[in-house]
Amino acid sequence: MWKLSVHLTTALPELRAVRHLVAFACRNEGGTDIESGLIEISFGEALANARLHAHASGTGQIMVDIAYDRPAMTVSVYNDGSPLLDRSAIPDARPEEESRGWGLYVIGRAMDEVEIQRSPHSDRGTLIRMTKNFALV
Amino acid sequence: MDILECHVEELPEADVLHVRGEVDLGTAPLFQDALEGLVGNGRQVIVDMSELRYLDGSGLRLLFWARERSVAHGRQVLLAGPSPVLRRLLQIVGLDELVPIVETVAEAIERLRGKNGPI
Repeated sequence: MWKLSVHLTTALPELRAVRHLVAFACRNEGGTDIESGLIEISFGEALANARLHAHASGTGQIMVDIAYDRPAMTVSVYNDGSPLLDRSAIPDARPEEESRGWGLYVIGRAMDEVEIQRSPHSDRGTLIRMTKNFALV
Repeated sequence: MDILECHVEELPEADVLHVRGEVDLGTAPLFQDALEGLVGNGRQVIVDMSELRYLDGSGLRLLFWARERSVAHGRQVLLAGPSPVLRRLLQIVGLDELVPIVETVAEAIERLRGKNGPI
């Protein structure tokens, strides 16, 4: 069992670097290409949400946790920008185009568990935590 | 190497958009420019995804948009060669029910020939 915590900003090169790090960690722990790719995509959507909505006025600070407890890979994105969501529901159906629910819809379908709550690190931020269990056959 | 490279190949049956690398928030505008140049020009469009490593929600929206615009012009968009994970992503968002997804550009062209060629 291990956990990495990374502080970064929502600048695109930093988001790409940490997304690639997650993809690498997934494969390193035996995740299949599909499992690892779906985690990378879901994590990328959470990062994109943080950049687009929580820090819409510019680049902001975020923190991510990447944790592995065999067979569960859990990634968390904390932002201290304005709240990501007024509600914590994951859409059940694909939202209309241009909706900001798109990323969350993909996350909800691609990951095994998803949790959205107020960030424990900030009065006004948001935490998205999501887990996928590797089949490890 | 650029994060995303797009280049267009004009074949008799279709315009092929080869995309290589990653479509994310930063590179989606480049992907959008490339698609906008193709859809609505009266030709069929094949998006060659065989060297596309990553596609996020901003890229998926553009594929939906390109499909709608092509259909409005009586044409279609075909997706060729997505990786297993991108194919799964296309299924998750339901794009696989709206656009043909095939293994290779050659297969996409066969489909177009079958549909539009002489009987």
